[in-house]
Amino acid sequence: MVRHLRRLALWIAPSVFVAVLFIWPMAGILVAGFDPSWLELLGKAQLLQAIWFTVWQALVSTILCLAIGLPISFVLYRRQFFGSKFLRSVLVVPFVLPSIVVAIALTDLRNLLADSTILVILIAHLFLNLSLVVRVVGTAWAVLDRETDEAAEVDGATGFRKFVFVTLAQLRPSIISSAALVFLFCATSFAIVLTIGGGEVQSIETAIYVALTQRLDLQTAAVLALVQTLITVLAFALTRKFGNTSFAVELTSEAEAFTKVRKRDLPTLFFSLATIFLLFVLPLGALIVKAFTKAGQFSLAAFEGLSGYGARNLLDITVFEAAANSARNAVVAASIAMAVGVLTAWLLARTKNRWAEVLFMLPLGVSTVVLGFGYLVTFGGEPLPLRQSWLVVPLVQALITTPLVVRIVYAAIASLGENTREAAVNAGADSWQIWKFIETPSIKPALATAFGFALLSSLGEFGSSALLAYSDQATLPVVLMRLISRPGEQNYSMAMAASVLLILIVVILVSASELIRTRRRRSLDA
Amino acid sequence: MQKLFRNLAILVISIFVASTLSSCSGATEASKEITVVVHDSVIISDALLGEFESQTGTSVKIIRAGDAGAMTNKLVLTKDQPIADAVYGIDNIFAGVAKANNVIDGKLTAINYGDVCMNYDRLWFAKNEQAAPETIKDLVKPEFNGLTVVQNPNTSSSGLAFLAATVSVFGQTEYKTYWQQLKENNVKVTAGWEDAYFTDFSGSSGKGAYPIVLSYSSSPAAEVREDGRSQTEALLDSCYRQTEFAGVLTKAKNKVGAEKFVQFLLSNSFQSSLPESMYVYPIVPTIALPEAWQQFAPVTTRPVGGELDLNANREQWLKAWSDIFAG
Repeated sequence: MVRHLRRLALWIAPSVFVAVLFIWPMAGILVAGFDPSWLELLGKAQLLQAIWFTVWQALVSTILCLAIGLPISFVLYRRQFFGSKFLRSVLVVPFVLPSIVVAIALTDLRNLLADSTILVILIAHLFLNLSLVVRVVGTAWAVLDRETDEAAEVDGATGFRKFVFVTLAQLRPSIISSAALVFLFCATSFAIVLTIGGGEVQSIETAIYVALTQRLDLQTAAVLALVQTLITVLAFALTRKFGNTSFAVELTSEAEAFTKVRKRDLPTLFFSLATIFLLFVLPLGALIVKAFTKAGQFSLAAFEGLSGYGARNLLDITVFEAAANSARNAVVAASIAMAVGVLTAWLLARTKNRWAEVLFMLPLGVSTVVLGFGYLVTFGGEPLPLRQSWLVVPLVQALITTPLVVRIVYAAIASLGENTREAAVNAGADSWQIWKFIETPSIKPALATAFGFALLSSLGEFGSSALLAYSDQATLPVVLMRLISRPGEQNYSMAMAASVLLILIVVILVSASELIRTRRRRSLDA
Repeated sequence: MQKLFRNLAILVISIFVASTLSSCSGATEASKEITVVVHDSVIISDALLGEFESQTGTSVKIIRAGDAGAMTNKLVLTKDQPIADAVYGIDNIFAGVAKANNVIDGKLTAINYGDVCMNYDRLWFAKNEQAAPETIKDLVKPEFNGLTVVQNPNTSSSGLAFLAATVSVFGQTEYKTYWQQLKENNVKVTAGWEDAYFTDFSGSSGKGAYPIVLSYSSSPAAEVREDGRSQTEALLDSCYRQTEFAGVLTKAKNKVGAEKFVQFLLSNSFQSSLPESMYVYPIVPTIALPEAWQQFAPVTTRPVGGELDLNANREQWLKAWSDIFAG
């Protein structure tokens, strides 16, 4: 009973967080846009088409990400070869790039596939979200016990059968988690669909954008935001149906089980490297070349401009100052998201309350445009004039990132299995001891992944920053967008240089976290 | 366990409190400060803001609120607790929306204008030994097949401006025929100006594949190369004139300061900063234009579409346009 009450008390912080920062502003927009004719709106062919497109493209994008992400995560997290760590970082880069930069990076591909914009949208979603599958599944895969593998092999389970019945079964929580995340990211993908689709391809999110910013059509925006909520709930229900079984995974003291590349791995390795080269190295390389070129020749001019304000003082702050804002926001947002997210994941793993679980998924599935307008209307004055504070941006980013943290950490705790925990309880351990001595050490890689993604998703976040970060609070993606919304060579090359700066920050950040993990493993071995 | 989470809870709550407090102190204080909301492309230098402050004793805080459409709609939604005292950058497309919703106290004052025109890559046509287009009517001819990129009028204000221009030039029904022909001549449509200009247009630093782009009459001034000539040129036929306005918000806290600021936007020093900073023309006719502009960004003498009521007809044009391009 006491334990129950204590747990209830712990729910307060995350609940207040979601209630104030999410439900309140969303309710503001829904109430303002309420209309008895909502159902009629849903009958409009145009909206139905947008809803249908959103769902199927998100599904296909997710399947693509899984199909291509699984072999790559095997190669990068289960096998060791020269450059594998570096490639892990490269895959993450697109996750933080502003969509217009992604559009520019994919120019060659777009010209090649000019007749099928929808295919390009799918590939762009793959480009953006592949790292999510690779990292989430990869970190789980890396700590899978090799003995289970070998035992299965002794039992006669070989090759494909072993992969399906042993490996996939153990990876199921992380696969389902990452699939759910990718699905929601693709379902709410906005700028990519808008830019690559030329404004002609309509998804729920672009329809909301046009309704809110161009036509002041609150009814349509509110109805579509509700549909998004419904889709999120459905997606969640499905992941629960397929991903809920927990597997007892034996823990190994070895944090990562690397093996040298074997002969039979070669086809997988070749496929993965070719995909990474075509999809990541080429487009990102093209961006980098653009940043270092002036009038057809190698030049550093673009980078010299980064400490200035752009041609004709276009910017309020320098690109470096914007990078500092971005870094500050990322640290604040990721810390809040980790605090709230880990607590929530921990509570969810114990209570298994599906309503609580879905509630903490919702912020990921709902339009940031609606959320941004909700903030404007709700937090303008008393009782919470959040609108004028710089904290508003990291808070929204924390809100959007929290579901990500919850999913990643929850999947890791779930894959530990009940058995270990029950054994510990029988041995007389309380929750705190279990968390400290059993759970935390074994989910450390997942915690690192979650924190990394929280940092990155804040660094790359554009929607709410563009809406809410005023003048001297502009972030790197916002400044980049301003540079590129003006004609002239200097601004364009500065935008390219700023993209390279962003790429550099990501690679350094991710490589540093890899390094820390490697060192930790070495000290464990010693 | 409890200790850790208690600390986390305290952290979260204290961040809330801190944010609330810091935002309270950041609110506009009466008479000594005004807040001005502008669209994303507005640039007002610190020097100019300093000049206004030393003249009036009022300091200015600038808030950017998206493009002209998003900004206007935000003002409508927040009109009871406005995000600012004055607004600058509402264009003729959204002026009607602002007026209809009583967002503006009194009248809107015109501050600057720009002409939305087709641009073409001079070098591309020279290299390919082909004559450059002379009017927008040329763009549907076979020799210009697959050479033009425009913006979607549903998602871009320059796209909408061009749609209005075609209605004005070809008439209330014939404009559809023109767009049908443009489509058959493989015109490319992008969502925003950025993508069209930097990814697709061959005359920009993006070095795209299309030598004709929908942009502004002032854009060629930004593409002057080392030989002292601009690589691009604007087609001064059939340009739509976008005028931008400023005004005092209905529920502004500091109306006096806001009104002074609107007047300041008409002053010589602000008006003469407009071409360099925002690539637009000053509304005050006596202001001299920079040299590059006199050479490469001449203002059109015969803009089209001024007679149209955009607010009333927008939906109908957009629907017709979407029907053509969806099929």
